[in-house]
Amino acid sequence: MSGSQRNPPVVGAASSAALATQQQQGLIVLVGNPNVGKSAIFSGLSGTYAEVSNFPGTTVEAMAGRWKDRPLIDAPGTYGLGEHSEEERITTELIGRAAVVVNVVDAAHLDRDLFLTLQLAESGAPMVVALNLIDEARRAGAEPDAAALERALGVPVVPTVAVTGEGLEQLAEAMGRARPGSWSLNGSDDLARRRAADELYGRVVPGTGRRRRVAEWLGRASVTLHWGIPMLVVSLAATYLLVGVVVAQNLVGFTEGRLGQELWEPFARAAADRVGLSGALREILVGEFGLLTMTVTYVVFLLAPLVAAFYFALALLEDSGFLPRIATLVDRLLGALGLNGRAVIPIILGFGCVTMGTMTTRLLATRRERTIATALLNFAIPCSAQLAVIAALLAGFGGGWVFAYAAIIFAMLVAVGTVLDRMIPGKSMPLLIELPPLRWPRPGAVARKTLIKGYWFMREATPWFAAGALIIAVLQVTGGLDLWERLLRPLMVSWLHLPAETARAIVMGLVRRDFGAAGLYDMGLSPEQALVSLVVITLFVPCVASILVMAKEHGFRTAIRIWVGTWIVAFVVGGVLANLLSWLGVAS
Amino acid sequence: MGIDRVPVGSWARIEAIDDATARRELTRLGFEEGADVEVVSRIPFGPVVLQRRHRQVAIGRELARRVRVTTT
Repeated sequence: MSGSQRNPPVVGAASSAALATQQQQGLIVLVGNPNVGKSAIFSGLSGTYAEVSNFPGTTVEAMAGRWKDRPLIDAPGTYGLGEHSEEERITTELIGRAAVVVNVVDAAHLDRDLFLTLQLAESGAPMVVALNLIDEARRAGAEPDAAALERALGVPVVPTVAVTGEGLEQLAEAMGRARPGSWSLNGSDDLARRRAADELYGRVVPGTGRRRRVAEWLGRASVTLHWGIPMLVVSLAATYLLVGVVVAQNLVGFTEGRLGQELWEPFARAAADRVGLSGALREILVGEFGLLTMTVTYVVFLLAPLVAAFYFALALLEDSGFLPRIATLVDRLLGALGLNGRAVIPIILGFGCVTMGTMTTRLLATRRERTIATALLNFAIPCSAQLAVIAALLAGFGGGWVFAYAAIIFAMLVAVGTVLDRMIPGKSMPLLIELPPLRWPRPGAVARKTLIKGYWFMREATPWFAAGALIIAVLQVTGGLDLWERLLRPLMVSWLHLPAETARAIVMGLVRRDFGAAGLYDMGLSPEQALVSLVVITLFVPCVASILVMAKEHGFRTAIRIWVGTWIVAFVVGGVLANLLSWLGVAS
Repeated sequence: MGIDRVPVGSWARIEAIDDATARRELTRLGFEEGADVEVVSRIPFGPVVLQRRHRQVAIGRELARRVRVTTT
């Protein structure tokens, strides 16, 4: 399952001319189950990056590169060929265009992988098998007999360890000897193929190997409530400490405040003055919400470190094999909201940046689930930029207020999910997820994945942040922001019992969610007012960038509906809360 | 009987999977009709975790009801 980015060169449907050219050029396609090191073989051969992950379904889209002079494509991970999912369709199409198919299999989990191998061997495509992760299989005392497998399939079989480069030269050499498999199946259905794969597995892999007792115990314990939940709590707490405290507050405080606002912005303004910019154009480029001032500070000095920190945490969870177990543990909770356990990934990322979470909803199976997850993210998940300000503001009033805030937001999350689950027709997909064995993440893989995912996210998201800032800057220059503020003002005072100036904070929240919260900081609000205003700000304002991304991912109508919905919900809930507090006599 | 009712630590043989998508996925993963599997965990009201050889798969509770088994 991928973090969020569209990977580099995306493979689309090729014209027949392009198809012929690719075959002529000797297109090599890597095919294998998710999480077998396919991407690492791709990097090893092509010398460029592909992500290496321990979470089933990592490569959502194919990555393309070159090996020597030949095109090389890393097909999406799939457990079989056919027409049943996008991954399968893309992979099946790629195999039809390939001069050589390299079937990458996990030597330590060969029983599962052989299903796809047999399908490939039946397909008639020239192929070789890379028996990857052979080191893990050896350690487990269950090294497959490569020669026996080669005889059974009639194609070259090469043991490899992609992350260390072991066997890659032999694999490259074997590609020259690729040929169609000599395997044929008695019968054509999946069940017959599965049984044949199991039978072949019994022939090429020695009986039971050594048992990894600790890993096995952890693998079982981590999906029980009494062990799994504490592990989950500890890992999320560690993630919060790293991302929420160390990066969001300490590091970003430095990069945003010092590097961005004190060094970069004055520099940009001075440069603009030197070239003689003035009037509206100057305002749009280097003004309060300027493209060269605020957007740069926000994207480079605030968002980039946060996004990297979140992808780092996600990479650790993915590569350790813990993420699918978290999905299992929370499946029941998310089921109440019309989602399944897989939706935990966009939600975790949403706490980093709602835009990042919204993009990641791509990995959910149905449109229904993608809509629900997107709505939850934009209604009720405060992003980390906002969270830091909210925590600081409320903590001043004591733990009770923090708790009240968290309880209200959580209740809204549940309410919105439940309502949408009832409203949107259809049924969500049940959870069905493979749990890979737990293992130590490889530092190199985690580092590369963090950088590349972060890079692709920033590359995709930056234009949206710039567009959002541009809209706001234009609104400001034309007086639209002031008008909006004036319209909101009566509502703030009479309905929410807040000072009139909070209208400005709300409008600011459109630019950047944390601006909204930060604007409240200096207003001298009472605890009740702070609670009401923060609840309103959390519930309603998805920043302009996330609205734009929503429109792109889910269409204009869904985006507008969610956006208008957030306004209504925020003001209804905020108003009820404000009036309840004053009725209880706590309000001043 | 659905595999959701098999106690943790027990083995069961999968007789039928009454869901086409899940049957295809589980067959590919090696949890096909006819396979003997161990129930490793049942999250209360949540997913059931099955194990065969050294591999595990988690399936949602609703779906687990439609994986019909006989205990061995």
